[in-house]
Amino acid sequence: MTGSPLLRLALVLGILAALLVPAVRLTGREKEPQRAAPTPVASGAAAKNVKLTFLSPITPTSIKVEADGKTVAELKAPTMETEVSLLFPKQGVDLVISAEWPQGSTENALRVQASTGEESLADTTLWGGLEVNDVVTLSSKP
Amino acid sequence: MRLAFSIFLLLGLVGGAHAEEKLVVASLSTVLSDIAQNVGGDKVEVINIIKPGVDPHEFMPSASDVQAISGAKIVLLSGNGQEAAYLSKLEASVGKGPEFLAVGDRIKPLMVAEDDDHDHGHAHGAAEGGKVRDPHWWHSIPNAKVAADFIRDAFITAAPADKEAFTANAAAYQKKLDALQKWARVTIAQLSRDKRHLVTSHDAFGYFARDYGFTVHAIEGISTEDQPSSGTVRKIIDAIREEGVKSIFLENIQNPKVLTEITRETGAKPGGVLYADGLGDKEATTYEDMIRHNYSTIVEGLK
Repeated sequence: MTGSPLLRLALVLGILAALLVPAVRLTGREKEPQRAAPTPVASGAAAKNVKLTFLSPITPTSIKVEADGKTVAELKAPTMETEVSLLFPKQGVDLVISAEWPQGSTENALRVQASTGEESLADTTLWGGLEVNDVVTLSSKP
Repeated sequence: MRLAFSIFLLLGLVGGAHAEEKLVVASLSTVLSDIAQNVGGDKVEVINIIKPGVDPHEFMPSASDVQAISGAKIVLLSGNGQEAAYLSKLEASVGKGPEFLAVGDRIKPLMVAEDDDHDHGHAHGAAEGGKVRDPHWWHSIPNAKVAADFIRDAFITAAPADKEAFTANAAAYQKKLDALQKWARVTIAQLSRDKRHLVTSHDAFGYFARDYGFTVHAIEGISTEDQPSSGTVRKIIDAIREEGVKSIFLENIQNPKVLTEITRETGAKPGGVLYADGLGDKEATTYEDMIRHNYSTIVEGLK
């Protein structure tokens, strides 16, 4: 056979390379289709205006109210009442209540009353020393 | 003179030996080991028969375990059928020495349906009216408080001379558990109640779900030996989509293909490892740490 060996080698390599492309396509994994992260389904939560009333023998210097990790109200003495708008799923709402009292008081109690115009959602007492940090669950009748 | 000195020395040594004698407690639960150590303090020697990181659903006692248990005065069992596979043989092997105490049997149980929708690799604890006791009582802090009191009373009965120490230790531990319970309430409250859907490897978090208003969707049953059926996996996928669940929580899931299928079909991501059947060997090494780890992981994964 005549012809440059190098040329023959290049021809063979070229043919192999040409065959490589379809071979890779046939044997390679398909990319996983991108799935969107699950979109939050509407939980049926409706907004409600909730009146919060706090009662304590000694007025706290401050009261903070959080829902779903966000602050929804901050009260400074002598204010002991507020109204907040809350998204209210059928499972209810947990409020985190944090209150502080002036130095000198030892044991303190904080009564928390929550209501809409039509119904009482919670009426409970939290206990602590100079601070209280606890949860009040609001539940609505179906 | 020398005789008197020798007698006094001998009495001193004997007295000292008695003062050092600890109540030996063997434990078949890492959670109970921790509670027992907190209640017993330096008056007890706690022997971990099941080590941290070991799956109690698959544990079988070895000859050396039987020997260790034989030397104990009290053996703490998780109860509620957790040790059903080997308990009668273990008691027969050990003889009349130690007292076996099934702590979980003293706690009001959650009854769960004997799930026919998966393959059983073993028998559950005794069924009662088609239901079995969920053995994972430790995922409720109030249950841990009951366990601590029961262990205190058992220690006092076994070693009445140390009653004062056990009572003081238990009271201090109860205060710690009260503080933990308050932390738990505040932490869980960060998660809106309509997001409280927990997808886990096996159905170990029923007591937690009851306490904090969660719904559990378990890939396996109440034992890690249970195998999920395709029907169960399909139900889980549908629930994740319907409720918009962001994360699923795994332990050492035995079937990674199931995990891949669920995450591929739903887009939910792995939310982290939970300690379901006991304490860990590198983290979550105490009951308190386990609770904090699990609860924080769940809230962060689902927010």
